[in-house]
Amino acid sequence: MAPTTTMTTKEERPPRACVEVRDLTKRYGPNVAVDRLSFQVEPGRVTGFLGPNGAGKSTTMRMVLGLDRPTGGEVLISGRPYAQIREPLRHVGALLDPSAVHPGRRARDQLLALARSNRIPDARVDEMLDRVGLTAAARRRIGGFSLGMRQRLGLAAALLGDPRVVILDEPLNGLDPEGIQWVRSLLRELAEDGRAVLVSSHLMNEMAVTADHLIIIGRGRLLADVSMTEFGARYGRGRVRLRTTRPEQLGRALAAVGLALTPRDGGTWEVPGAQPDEIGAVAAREGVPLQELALHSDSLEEAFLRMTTHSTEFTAAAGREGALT
Amino acid sequence: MTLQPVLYSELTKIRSLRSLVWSLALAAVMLVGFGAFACGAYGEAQAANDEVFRPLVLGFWGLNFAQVALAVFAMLSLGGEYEKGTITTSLTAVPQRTHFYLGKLLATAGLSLAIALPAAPLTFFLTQGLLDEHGVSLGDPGAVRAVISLILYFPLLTLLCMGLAVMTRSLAATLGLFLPFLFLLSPLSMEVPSLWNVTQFLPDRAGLYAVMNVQPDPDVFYNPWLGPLIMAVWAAAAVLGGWHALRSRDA
Repeated sequence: MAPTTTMTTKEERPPRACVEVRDLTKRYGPNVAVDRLSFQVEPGRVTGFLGPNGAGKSTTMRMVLGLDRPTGGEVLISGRPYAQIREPLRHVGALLDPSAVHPGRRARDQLLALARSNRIPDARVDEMLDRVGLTAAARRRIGGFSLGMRQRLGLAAALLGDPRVVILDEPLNGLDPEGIQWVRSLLRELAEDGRAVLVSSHLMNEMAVTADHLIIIGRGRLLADVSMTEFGARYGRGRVRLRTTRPEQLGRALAAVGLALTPRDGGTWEVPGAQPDEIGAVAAREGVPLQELALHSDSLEEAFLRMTTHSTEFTAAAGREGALT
Repeated sequence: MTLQPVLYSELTKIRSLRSLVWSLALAAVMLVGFGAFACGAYGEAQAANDEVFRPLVLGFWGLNFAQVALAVFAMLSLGGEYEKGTITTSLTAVPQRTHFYLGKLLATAGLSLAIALPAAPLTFFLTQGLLDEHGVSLGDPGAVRAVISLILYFPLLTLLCMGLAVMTRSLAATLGLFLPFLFLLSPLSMEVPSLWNVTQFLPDRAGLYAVMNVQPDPDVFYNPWLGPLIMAVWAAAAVLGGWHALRSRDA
């Protein structure tokens, strides 16, 4: 009996829910917002969509969702253009702008209207309100919501149809540290469920601890399509920052594998030229407790800046000006 | 693909906004209330003084105000989506734009028809009853046409305003341009005979002509029954224009 059930579930849900962006181009008159962009968002991982402000992230996401028409190229979601998906909220959940809500509407009504357009049962609305922690505010008008609450409401809307593909534009903006933590674990959960998750950001630090894979763009062009680990290994100078109660023991164990533990201010330690997983493995073997373990992300932010500086609109404009004079 | 979920969703949107519920309710209240007030307070005097007393002009006097509330309702329903940016969410939920548009039009115009269906006959019987022997009865020539035209005036004006709202994609622009036209320019044009030859074909004038007159006006080129039809042509043009804009533009 069990295998049959599995079969039907598989038929209902395509096994590979993914987003394929192919040669996507968007021009506004002479300005190119997105320039022959191609990448894939794979299921089962969080794909960070990174670029400075104005790089074309939002425009790309709007084209993915069929809101803006590409000048060239196409986007396929599990093999189909978005506009051809019937009841799309059941396949793709998106949060573009949490402020794009009617302030006079109550939170629950906002979700009800969305759910009903895609024949999602009303009960699911209350379930999602509960999941994002807005049950108490369900009957309040959205006008009185903080940005953080609007983000939560937007996330509830995105997850309403239990979609296999989740697309979020800067979901960490305006959240307090607790909210950021919450969204991060939510994104992890979604990816672990096998969903394809695309999350945009203009901050490398934010993505370093959230994404498994990175798509970096600048001035509408693809700059990098790499896994987070690879990006860290290639560009991050591998400074791992940690805190431990037994630095001497850890230092000896690390020295044995050719790594140096150097003290930093505030009781933290750093290991240059290493990856967090290496250190974690050593610490586990030695039974050394770690209170903190992270890739020092300043170096990643620097790598990201170096990568995008040449492509930002501002620098490019300055360059053109220079060429004219 | 069925329209029903979209329609249900759009009705939910309208019902959940006080501004929309109130503007629509206000349209009905003003139609009935102002008409009853005019007939009750000034009916006798008007009937005695006027050379040609037009009982429907007095009875349906409230329509001059009700139509503004109705236009606001229609424009808020669609223009509000652009104003607040919710149009992107709506089109993400229903990416088939023709479906979305049809659902929106049906829900909004359907509600204004639903409110006109009781409000128009109620206004007729109430105001003409108040006018007593000066009033018209439903059996009089032209009376049925006037009541039917009044009922149709509501959804037709709603559709016209919604089409305009999509074409301009700005609530402020639609309200700012269309309301003065409806309230000021169009009525004033009646006072200038040379203008009236042309402006009698404007949507609101054509509709109102069929609503307000028992007897055909010799200065009007068309039969009063054609009033709602002329209005419908305008509404269809606006709706088609809006449809084209919605389909061809980025959201």
